[in-house]
Amino acid sequence: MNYRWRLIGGILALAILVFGAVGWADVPLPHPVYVHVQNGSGVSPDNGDLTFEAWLTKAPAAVLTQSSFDCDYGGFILGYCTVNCGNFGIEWTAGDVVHIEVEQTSTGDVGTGEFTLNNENLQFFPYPSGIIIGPIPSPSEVWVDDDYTSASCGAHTWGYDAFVTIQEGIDAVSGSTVNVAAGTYPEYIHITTDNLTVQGAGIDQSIIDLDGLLPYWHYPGNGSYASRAGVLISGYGSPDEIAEGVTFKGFTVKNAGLNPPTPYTEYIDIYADGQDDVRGIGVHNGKDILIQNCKVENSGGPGISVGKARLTTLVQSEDVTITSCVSINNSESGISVGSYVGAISITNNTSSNNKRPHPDADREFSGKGIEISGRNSSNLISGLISGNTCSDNGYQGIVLKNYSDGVVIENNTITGHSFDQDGAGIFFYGKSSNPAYDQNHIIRNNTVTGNIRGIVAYYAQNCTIEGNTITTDSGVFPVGQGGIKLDGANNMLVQNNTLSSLDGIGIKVQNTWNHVKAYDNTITGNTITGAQFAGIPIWGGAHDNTFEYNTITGTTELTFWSGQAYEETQADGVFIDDDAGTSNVFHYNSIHGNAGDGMENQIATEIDAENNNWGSPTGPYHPTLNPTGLGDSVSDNVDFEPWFGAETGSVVVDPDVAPGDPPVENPDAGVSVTIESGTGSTAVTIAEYSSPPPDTPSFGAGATYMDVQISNPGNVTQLSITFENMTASTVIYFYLPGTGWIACSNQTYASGTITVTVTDSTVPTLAQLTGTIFAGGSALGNVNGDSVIDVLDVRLCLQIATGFIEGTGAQRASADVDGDGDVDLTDAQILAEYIIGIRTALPGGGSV
Amino acid sequence: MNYLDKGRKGVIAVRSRRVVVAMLAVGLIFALTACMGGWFTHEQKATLIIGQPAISGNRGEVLISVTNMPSQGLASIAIDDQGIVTANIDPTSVKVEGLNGFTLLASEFVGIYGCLAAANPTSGSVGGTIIKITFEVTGADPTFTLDKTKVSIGSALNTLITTWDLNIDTSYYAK
Repeated sequence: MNYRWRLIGGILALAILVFGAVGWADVPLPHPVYVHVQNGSGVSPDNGDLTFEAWLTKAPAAVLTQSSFDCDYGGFILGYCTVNCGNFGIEWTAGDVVHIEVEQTSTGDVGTGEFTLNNENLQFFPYPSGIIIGPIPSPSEVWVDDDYTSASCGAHTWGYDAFVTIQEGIDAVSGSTVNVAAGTYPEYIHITTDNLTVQGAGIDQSIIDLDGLLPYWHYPGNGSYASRAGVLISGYGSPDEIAEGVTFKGFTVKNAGLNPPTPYTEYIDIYADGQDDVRGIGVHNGKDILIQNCKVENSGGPGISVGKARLTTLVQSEDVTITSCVSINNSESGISVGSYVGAISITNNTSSNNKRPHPDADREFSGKGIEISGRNSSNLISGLISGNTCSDNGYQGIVLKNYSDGVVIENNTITGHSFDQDGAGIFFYGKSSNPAYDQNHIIRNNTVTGNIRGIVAYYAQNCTIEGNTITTDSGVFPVGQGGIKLDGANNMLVQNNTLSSLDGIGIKVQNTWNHVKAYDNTITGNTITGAQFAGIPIWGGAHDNTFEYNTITGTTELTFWSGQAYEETQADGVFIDDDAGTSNVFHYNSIHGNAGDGMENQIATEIDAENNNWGSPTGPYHPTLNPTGLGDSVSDNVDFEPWFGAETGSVVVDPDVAPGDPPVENPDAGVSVTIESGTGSTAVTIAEYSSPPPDTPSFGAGATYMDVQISNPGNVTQLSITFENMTASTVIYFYLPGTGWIACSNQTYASGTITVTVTDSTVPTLAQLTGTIFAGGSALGNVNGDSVIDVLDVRLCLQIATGFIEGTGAQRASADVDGDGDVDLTDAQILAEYIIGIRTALPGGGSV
Repeated sequence: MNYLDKGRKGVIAVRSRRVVVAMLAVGLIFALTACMGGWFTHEQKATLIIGQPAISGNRGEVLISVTNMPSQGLASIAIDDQGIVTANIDPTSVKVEGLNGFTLLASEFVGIYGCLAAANPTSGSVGGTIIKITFEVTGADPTFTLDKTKVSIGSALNTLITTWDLNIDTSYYAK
């Protein structure tokens, strides 16, 4: 049966070709046109429930209906009108337009459509290019192209889903998408439709250029500043006062507020820069908003602004994402978020050169790269600011202000904010001087370079600042500002930051001008190189802060408040001002090579600075307490004993460990100690060194150096030391002065961990884990480390010199009083002369 | 009564002679034990001895010795500046030498004052001579005296010896 029909079709086709060729040229060719018909609900009339009339627009008198020969509704294809153009009785040609009017019999709904013919054998017009009867629904997707005309809009319907302006498309669409082709669109845009995507062809492809246009304002009057934007996404006027589920992407928006026709009533120019203060892209009362892959430039206000619609009862935005955008050369901040609730996401944007002269006489420029703020004290902003580049903005790079809680700022590059005297790379502060409104932030792994200040925590608490790379550049302003500044901040963790090339101080801790205190902060593992005035200064009542494992070197001299009664000139590693608070402690830091003191303490209360490395095994120089010290000097009221003779990578001390207690762990070193058995408690120290401690022979390439020390071996009968991340072939060695490196006798390997057991009969013995810790330093000449240089040191020196004993690293360092790198009879003789008064100083030390 | 009185006197006289003999015997024993060095407590105390100068012609010699030094013996000594005071010697002629394992590390004699430091790196001296000082005599009765407050001594255990006496009797050690 099928074969037979195909055969007949083939014969007919052949006949048409033959007849056409031999003389039927004047007879219209058959040309069926199939047009889909449906109502606004997407339902096509049943067969027999639709009539139509069709004609060529060039010959409207020749009409075909559903009853004409070879015409039909639903008979050939369900839901389709079939109009055979060959039956109009006149010749048709490609480009002719057939006009069809339909009516549903049962409902009376009507519809029309016009369809351009081509040379194909037949034509299909499926939905949505067919005919819609009854009320015409808004299209769910529209297309905008500045090249469209009524006669040329691709496969779309001019005025229905094809437009020449973006706003027409937005107004016409019902949900879904407005597709905007590459081109230039001189129009202000406002979006109040929920669940809408407006997508251009990309940055510098679809360009909204607002130069010379009258800005659109969504509502007039006092609040109109927030009602205007080059592209405004606003909940104002909608029933729930929220614009929800809007995506705007793939555009360049430029020149908002530039050269508007003047005068007009809503013109605002607060900064008197001649440009109407109109935002580039504004989101007001937005929720679930995505701004993506847009460039905003040369706006009269912020480039991208998120906030509130002022005339609504709901004044907030939430769930906004701004990603992969470029905001440059705007008159205010590149990205500005305020009156916001909950988590925001600002990622992978570039915000640069947003600045203009500040109207205040004592200020220079305004404009920030990214600034965000919560709505109020009960509605704080949180979220993620990541992967952005902020450079050369007028004021600051990234700012958290007023009300914020739990913002992560990571992997951003912030540079060149040196145009305003109050400039900074990252600045976060709490409203009303309240740290509780500025808390729980994480600022990590950012590159913050070339700004007047690096990272400033102002009225903040419980934040972590870690792993950032910071330099400072004062620009045209006096040097002296901080790489990291904790100002009225508490319970902050500042760790593992690298500060160098500083145009001022390193890490500053102080109370604020209005006495909000800086306390209980931990500053650890930071490297501060080349600060001016002080690597770490403590000012203004700051108290109970802990500074550990920091390296502070190369500080140079700087004078503050020159010419004032309180002029201060310093070049210290650590400077504690006379108005600083008490109980600030410094442990395990390496402070050396600073032009001034390693530590100057101007308060009367002694500061705990034990177990720091001062750049020499002989300790810090103090004119009376350690006159032979070759390290950085310390002032009075610095408790610097004991000190370390070498830089430590990490040190963990537990002063009271007994059998049955949990292991003492040094996680950075991957080493832990467990007191397995014994009769009492002992202190346990686990230290890690980046290089061999002084005068301890190197084990060779690839070795790492740990130090396990116990204070009371008499209370211990067995302990175990575990070393993590080991291989099965790794051997743990013990350095025994006089003998050298020897393998620990009882070590076992299992699952990447080596466990060394120590008793009175092992190598090493428990007793050999006592004494000063491996890198413990002592004064030059104070060979036995008892803080007194006397005849006992002379003999110990002689014993080392004659080889009777080898001495510990620290002992040898102290015994080498002539500093020639070796301990010999000359050292013993010099030391002897020193203690009996023949000489008044050791070769490298100070005076007695 | 008289008998009794007379006889009583006689008894008393006999008893008195016996007591005297007994006391003499005890005293003799004490004296002998003292001569043996085993009874007087001061002889058990650590002592640093600076001998009287022995003069031969225009040259003299002084020995510094120790006895009863604790903690395995004296192993280091430092006499601070002006700790030695001399008379009638030529300070430029002074030579100091360590004895019995002691190494002289430093010494200086200027005018009437002198100082020195020496140590034994390997062991200590419980008793014995540790330093010899030689000099040229410039006058009658040359003397060497020590200021004990300027002397520090250490043991073989590298601990300070803080309880000790200074003796200047040259025959003390010789006995």
